[in-house]
Amino acid sequence: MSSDSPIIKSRAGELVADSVLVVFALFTVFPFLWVVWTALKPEHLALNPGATNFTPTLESFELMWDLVDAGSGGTREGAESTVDITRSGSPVHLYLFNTLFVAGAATLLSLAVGAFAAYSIARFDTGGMPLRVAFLLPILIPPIAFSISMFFVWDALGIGNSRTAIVLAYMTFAIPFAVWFLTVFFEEFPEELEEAAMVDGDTRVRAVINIIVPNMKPAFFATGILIFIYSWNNFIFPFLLTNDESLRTMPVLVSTYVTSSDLLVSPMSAAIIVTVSPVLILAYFLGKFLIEGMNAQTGID
Amino acid sequence: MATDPGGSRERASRTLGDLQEVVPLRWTLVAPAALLLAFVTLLPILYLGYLSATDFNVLRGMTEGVVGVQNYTSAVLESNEFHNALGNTAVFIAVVVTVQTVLGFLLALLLWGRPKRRKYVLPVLLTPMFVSWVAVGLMFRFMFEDGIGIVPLLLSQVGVNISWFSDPTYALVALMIADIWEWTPFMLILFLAGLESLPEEPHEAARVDGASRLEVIKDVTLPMMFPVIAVAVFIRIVEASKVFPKVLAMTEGGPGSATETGSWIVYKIGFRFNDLGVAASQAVSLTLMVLGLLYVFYWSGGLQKDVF
Repeated sequence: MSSDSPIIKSRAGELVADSVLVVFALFTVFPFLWVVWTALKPEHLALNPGATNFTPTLESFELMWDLVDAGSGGTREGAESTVDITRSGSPVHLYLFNTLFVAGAATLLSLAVGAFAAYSIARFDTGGMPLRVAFLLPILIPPIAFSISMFFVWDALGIGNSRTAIVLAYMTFAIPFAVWFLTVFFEEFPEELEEAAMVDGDTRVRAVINIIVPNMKPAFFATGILIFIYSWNNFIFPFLLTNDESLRTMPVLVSTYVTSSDLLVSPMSAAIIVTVSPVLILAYFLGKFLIEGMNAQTGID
Repeated sequence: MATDPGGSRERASRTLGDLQEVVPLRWTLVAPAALLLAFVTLLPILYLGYLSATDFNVLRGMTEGVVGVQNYTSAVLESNEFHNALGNTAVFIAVVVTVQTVLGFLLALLLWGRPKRRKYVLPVLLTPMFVSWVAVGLMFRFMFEDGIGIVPLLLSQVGVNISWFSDPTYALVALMIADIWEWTPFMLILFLAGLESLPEEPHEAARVDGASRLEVIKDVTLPMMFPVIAVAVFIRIVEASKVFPKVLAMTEGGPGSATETGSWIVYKIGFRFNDLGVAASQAVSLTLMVLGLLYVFYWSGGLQKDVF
């Protein structure tokens, strides 16, 4: 089958191109496979990279589930010893809930306010270029700069050390993302359809509800997934804005398995799998949307 | 839907009309997002600015209180530690963004116009950018760590013995590899989207004129892709300049100060040494540098309206 590639014209060329793609795909998946491989090892072999002779076990997940504050609770003397486990009721489900809650709240809140702003910017060119840039400025600022003072500002407002504090911190990137992407999507949406509805006697509000909302669902979906993933993955804000263990999110939990002297590889691998899996599932849908968009652009189905 | 008991819609639209005379609808729509964003950014920024002019320490509180620009002279302008971190950050940015751009463009060229390959390979290639940054750091830390990592083990099989995290250069290289793994996909997706939206004709014309494939890419594709590349590079420079979770997870700035970056120094001084006033002055400086970058980029014409 001949390809439509503008640069690859020969069979040999295809072979070279595909080889490069395969090599890079291997480079891409190897760290994932290595984490899964490590998580399936018995705990005492986790630090032995060459170990291949073992029965796969879910021990690492049990360790993750049981290990409370691994950083201070764990002791280790050589690769043979097991981790000193502090069993006091696993908070992992609470960390999962925290992560889901702050990411979900940040996504919904930013989409809600962002949609109105984006519509106004796209349709009426409100504020022009300066407003567009102003909405993007916060993502240029290093999060560490926000973190330093946010802890005290939120504390003074009585919302310090809470999930609200984290969600508000996430607004510094969620609103810019929401406004930016939704503006692009609104601009791409043919204005004529909306105007036709208005000529037919609909008010602008009804035209938006009847014409734009149903057609923009995929756009909202994609933007929402992107913001959710970014929020779910965020580490610095929950890490620096809260000091209450019950407010930890999954990325913060993952970081507790490593200290300057210790690397609790087994439970860490399990925690990484639990943290990353939901996101990859969402990313798959986002990827599908992006690729479909690209196909539509080129007229390929 | 058809009935309108009590003419509520009429009343509602009249109120809306009154309101529109004071604040036009378009500004009312922008207001919630703008006000919320201003609330979460301006208060912390103002307080950060104030802190940067004080000698506030988390444990000691204020000793002399406001000390003016002292932090900026001692911890920014005259601090070798901070200069070293800025240097490390610059080297890190230069290497990772260059490699990501070249690799991303190469991969995009290989997938260009090949929907089948795109369908199966692209989802795999994109995965790293969706992994939590701190998790990426930890994954690479335990793959590269001496004695327990797979990378030193494999390299020792071919006679290469590198102790990645005790060597100043290799520690930085390990950080770079992790970042390249994570963010090349970002370049790939932007470049591929850009390539797929390029018009056919100029390429056809160049080929008819007898240009080789390499010449077509160099003389036709690259110039047309320039706006996309410029924006992608800018985004990556800004993002790479913030590098922190990876440093925390992989090297904690070490060995010595070999992998200390700007954000890492702010964290170390502010949250480990508790000198928030000093850290604030460095955070403000970092922010100003990034904004300076935007200014340069904006006025050099890299940022155009159709980017949005």
